[in-house]
Amino acid sequence: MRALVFALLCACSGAVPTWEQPGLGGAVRPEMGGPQPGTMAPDFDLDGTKLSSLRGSWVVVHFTATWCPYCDSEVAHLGDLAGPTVKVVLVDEKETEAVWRPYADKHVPKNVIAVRDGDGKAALAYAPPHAQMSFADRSQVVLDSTLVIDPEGVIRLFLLPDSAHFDPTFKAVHRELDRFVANDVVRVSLSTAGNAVIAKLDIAPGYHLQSHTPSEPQFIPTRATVSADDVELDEPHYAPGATYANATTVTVPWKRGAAGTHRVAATIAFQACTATRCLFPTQRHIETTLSFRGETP
Amino acid sequence: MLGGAGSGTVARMKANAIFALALALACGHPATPSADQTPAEPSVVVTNEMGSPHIGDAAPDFDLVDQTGAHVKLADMRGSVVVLAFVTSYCPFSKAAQPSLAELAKAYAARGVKVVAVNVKEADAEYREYVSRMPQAFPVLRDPNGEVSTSFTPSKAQPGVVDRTQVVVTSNLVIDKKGKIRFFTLLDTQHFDAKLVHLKRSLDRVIEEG
Repeated sequence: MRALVFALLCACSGAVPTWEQPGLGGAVRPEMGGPQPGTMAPDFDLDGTKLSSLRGSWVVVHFTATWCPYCDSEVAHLGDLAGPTVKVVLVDEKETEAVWRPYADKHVPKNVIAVRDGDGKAALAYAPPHAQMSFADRSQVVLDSTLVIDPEGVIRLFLLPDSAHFDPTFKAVHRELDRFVANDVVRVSLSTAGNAVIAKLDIAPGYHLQSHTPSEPQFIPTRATVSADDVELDEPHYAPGATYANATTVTVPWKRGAAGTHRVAATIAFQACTATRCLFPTQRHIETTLSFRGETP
Repeated sequence: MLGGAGSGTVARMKANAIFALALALACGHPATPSADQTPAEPSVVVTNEMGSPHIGDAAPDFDLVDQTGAHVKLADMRGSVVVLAFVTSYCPFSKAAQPSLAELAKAYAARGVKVVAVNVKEADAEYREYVSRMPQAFPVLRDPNGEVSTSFTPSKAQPGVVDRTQVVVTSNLVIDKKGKIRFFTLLDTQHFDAKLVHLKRSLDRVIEEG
């Protein structure tokens, strides 16, 4: 504990510039009011993109302006947040088409949906009423903010700018988004075949998992930990190959124990990747009851 | 915290409380804003780890033109305490602090403090827009290429900001009578000091030295 506190003192005392510690310091707090994580994202319809029409995908919304140096430093990295199940919408604040469009054509990555909020009304709907009280123009409160909206249209992350921990490559957003998305990338279901427990992993299109025996030592292998009440299970068997796509099964043979219905718990640790990048490793936990025949097959 | 109930849990809770307290003391964060949202801590302070110039260094000299066409040379103000603010018309933080800067200039004029703003690399129309909000409040110097702004930009400050002329936008400095930087902050959007409370505290200390 003492060593930990000492390490923290060193980390926070100023020896390390604060912006080398990107985090969630800009997170909207309940006392600020307005839209929050857990509430529906206010809809907007800009340049032919209606936010609510993107339901079914995760959506990252970022507010920008061409003159904002922090925004400008981030814009090239926004495309890295897009993925097979993630759309990125960049909303320009209160600028004319003549200013915005040439900038967007030149600087905004092609996989980002670039729209213009000419009168600032879309931004205003997001502005927390009790943040940045010195701003007369309330639409500017959310300039340089980032939101993550889930496939049902609910806000899951809402970060106002935090210049002291400036995070131009969106490290903190990637980390949080990956955690959300990875939960959708793999769906785990448990069943029995004979006496063996079968963990089926359904993998979302566009993603693959590193297998239990990946091609490179630095890749995170898929690992299943399965247990059942009153039943002893054997070591899991995994499908061959370096990666799993679409679906894979992990088979966990019954070793010994009583016949009947038992509670089965499985934890699947995995790393999901697209063709261009990997999400942070994560794990899913599932519990169910399954019937065992109770005899050696 | 995967443990179950029992004395171990209580011990861990105590440990966590100490840990949280240590963290709060170590980082001073979250800084608790007062009712008027003045942050408890000043904005990001420019220290020597960021490179030069930083607090304690001599302020780089400049010779720029203000809204009346007059030349303003920093070295000519030796003997006066100077408040230097880097501003733009676009930045909502600059805009929010502008009335406070005007008020400060008025309140401290009798104490011999000179308040000067440097407009960072804006076009004519934007520069005039900033000046026109408060034309007589304080001199607003034009830095058309951002050269002076860059001379005040510590090389390791805000490495993520690509346009290096923009790092000091909304920075405030106090320069003492000998031309030495005594207060220097960068923008901290989460702890924004719109009323310049921390700047004034530093200014008061520097004035008291005589």
